[in-house]
Amino acid sequence: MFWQRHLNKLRWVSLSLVFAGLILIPFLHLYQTYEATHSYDYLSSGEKYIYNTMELLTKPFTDDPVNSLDKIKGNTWSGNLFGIKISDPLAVVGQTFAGLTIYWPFVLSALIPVILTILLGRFYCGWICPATFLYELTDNVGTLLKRIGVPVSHRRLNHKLKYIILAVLSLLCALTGTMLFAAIYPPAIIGRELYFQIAAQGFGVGIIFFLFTMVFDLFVARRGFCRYVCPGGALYSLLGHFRILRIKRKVQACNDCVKCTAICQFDLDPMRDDFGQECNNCSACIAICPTDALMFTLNWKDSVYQGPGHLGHHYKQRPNDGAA
Amino acid sequence: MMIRTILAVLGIFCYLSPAVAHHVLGRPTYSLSENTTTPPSVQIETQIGKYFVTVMAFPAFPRANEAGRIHLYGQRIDGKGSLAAPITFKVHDDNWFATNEEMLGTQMPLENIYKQAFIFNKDGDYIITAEYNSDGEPYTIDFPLTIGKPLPIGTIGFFSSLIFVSLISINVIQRRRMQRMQTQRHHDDNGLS
Amino acid sequence: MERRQFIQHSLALGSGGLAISTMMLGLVRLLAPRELHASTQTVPLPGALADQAAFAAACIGCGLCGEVCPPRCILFYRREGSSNLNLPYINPEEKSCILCGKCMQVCPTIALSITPADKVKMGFARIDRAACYPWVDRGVCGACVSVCPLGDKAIGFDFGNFYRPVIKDGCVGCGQCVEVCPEPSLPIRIVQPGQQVPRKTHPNFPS
Repeated sequence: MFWQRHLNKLRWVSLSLVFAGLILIPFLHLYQTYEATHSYDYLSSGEKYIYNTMELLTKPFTDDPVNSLDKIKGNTWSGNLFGIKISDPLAVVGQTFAGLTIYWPFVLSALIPVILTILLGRFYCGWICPATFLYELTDNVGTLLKRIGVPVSHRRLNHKLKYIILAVLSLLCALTGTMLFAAIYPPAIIGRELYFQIAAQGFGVGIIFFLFTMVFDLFVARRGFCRYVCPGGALYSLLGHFRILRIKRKVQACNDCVKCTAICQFDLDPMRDDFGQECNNCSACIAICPTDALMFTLNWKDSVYQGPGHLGHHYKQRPNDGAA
Repeated sequence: MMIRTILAVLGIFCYLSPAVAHHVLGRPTYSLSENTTTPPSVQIETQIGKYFVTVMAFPAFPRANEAGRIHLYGQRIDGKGSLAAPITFKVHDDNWFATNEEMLGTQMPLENIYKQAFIFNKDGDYIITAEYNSDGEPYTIDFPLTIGKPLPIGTIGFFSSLIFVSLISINVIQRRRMQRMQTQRHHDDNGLS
Repeated sequence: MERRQFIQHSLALGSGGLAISTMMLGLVRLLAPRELHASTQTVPLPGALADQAAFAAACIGCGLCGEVCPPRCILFYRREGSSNLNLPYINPEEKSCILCGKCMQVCPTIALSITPADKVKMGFARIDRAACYPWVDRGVCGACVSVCPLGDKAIGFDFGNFYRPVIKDGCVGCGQCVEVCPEPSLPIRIVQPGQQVPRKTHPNFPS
């Protein structure tokens, strides 16, 4: 299906919008506080510039910025959208372990993401996560660095590692009674630190940790944090094990060009029908496929290896098969 | 394996190194009143151990390449006399990775006031450290000093935004070329020809 | 042989997971020492769970309370605080709470629960009478009394003297008096129940 190859562009739009939103919301909050205190005349020139820009942006939508801008608050870790509270399932898991009690209003706030993950799999990682946005850019730059001779590395670790890290950290949450995930989960870090930098006291520990993970991605394992370490990725993978939205290869249209396997940053093998629960439905393979052989389908199981693509020379040269 | 060694050493390092505890004093207050004989200054008061220490820096808003001085005086809390031990003043940048600690000098009190001159050649946020020994106990007082107008976003903010902007611009400019290279990289990574 | 390999494999994975996860935590902990600003006041948020440990267990560090705070008084432990990292606090010396209650409404967890303004327990204000201007007969002031959002219940003037402030039982510790106090040595502090009142003697008036 030809239109599916444009989904990757849509995904980049989505990632950019989320990231821009994370930057915009703190600025809107600054604007709200300036507006609430009627302090325009006392602002410095930089603050006046922020005020004017935000006023320009919000004027078409609201006449009462002080109250109505409260409708969109928060970040990808926990947010408040038009009165609906949405939290990351990992936050619920961590908080439940840390407090050793279940607080239902909070658990229910993760309901929407959990249902979507069960249906769509690890889509959060590919389409929303603000860390993915930066990690993918880093990985692309890594390709460039490799060409100019920088020793970027691509080690393969065991992807079960992240499930063990999820378990270990949950256990440590329970033992220490603190939310440890918040300190090391990149999307939580980015949302929070952007707020800190723009509207509070400035960058904290998280941004240094995040830079470490970027270095890890470049010089240890490609997209390594998402694939081997991220506890959120582990949770989403587990939840999305029986997802119904999967990428399938249409073997009749495939010509075995390996572009899909080469482009996959998660090191999966679409050309041999190997997706599994790790796939984050990012659709990069769909976008690059020259014969439109890959597509999203509704199916709760991956197909087993369907053999070489019918347009490839491996298939054509099979001795005892009349296909041509 | 090289990488495992590095990870292990890093892990041990993280565990063994003790948490570095600063002792930064409370917020600086500015006394700018023109009707006293004292020139405008930034003033910090605190209580440390047995002493009540007041630090003043002149001028109130020091700038780069402009001479300034620090006045420090300490009184015993019980009111029995003042601080008299020699004080060593040091200075370093106010960020995590500051290694460039510099000696300002060691001063003896002159009528109970320690005076230390300084001149900075770069705008920035600095931490002045005053160290002395009293009754066999070491005291360390850190206090912030802002010279001129440093970057509003700080060193970390500056470098993070630099990385962020360069990531995006490289990706936008080199989009086509990177897509082509992906295949080549896959071949290299997997040892294919 | 199969079984042995399996055990070896899972042992390697387990120790790897343990090593990496504790290393990450160690790194974060190392970058966030326990105390950076020794004399910064850290007052809990309005409506926060009374027990600090329970609060740390309930808070997920999302920063929503800070994002809705109209005076932006909510600060976060970001390079300090050790296990309190990412948790919110208020430093009334810089900016104080106006008891609007938006943070309690927006908090997704039980860390902050909705509490009426006069039932909030953030602490209790204490005035160091050795430093307060009217108490040492250095002039008239009354800034703290006029700014108090709870009015007569929380702060009033001493009997017989119009400008000497006295804290009353209704004080919830919002800290607006701390913010407004003009005396540089900050004679008003917010203290927690059971906390020793810090002895802060003004150099001009040794006790």
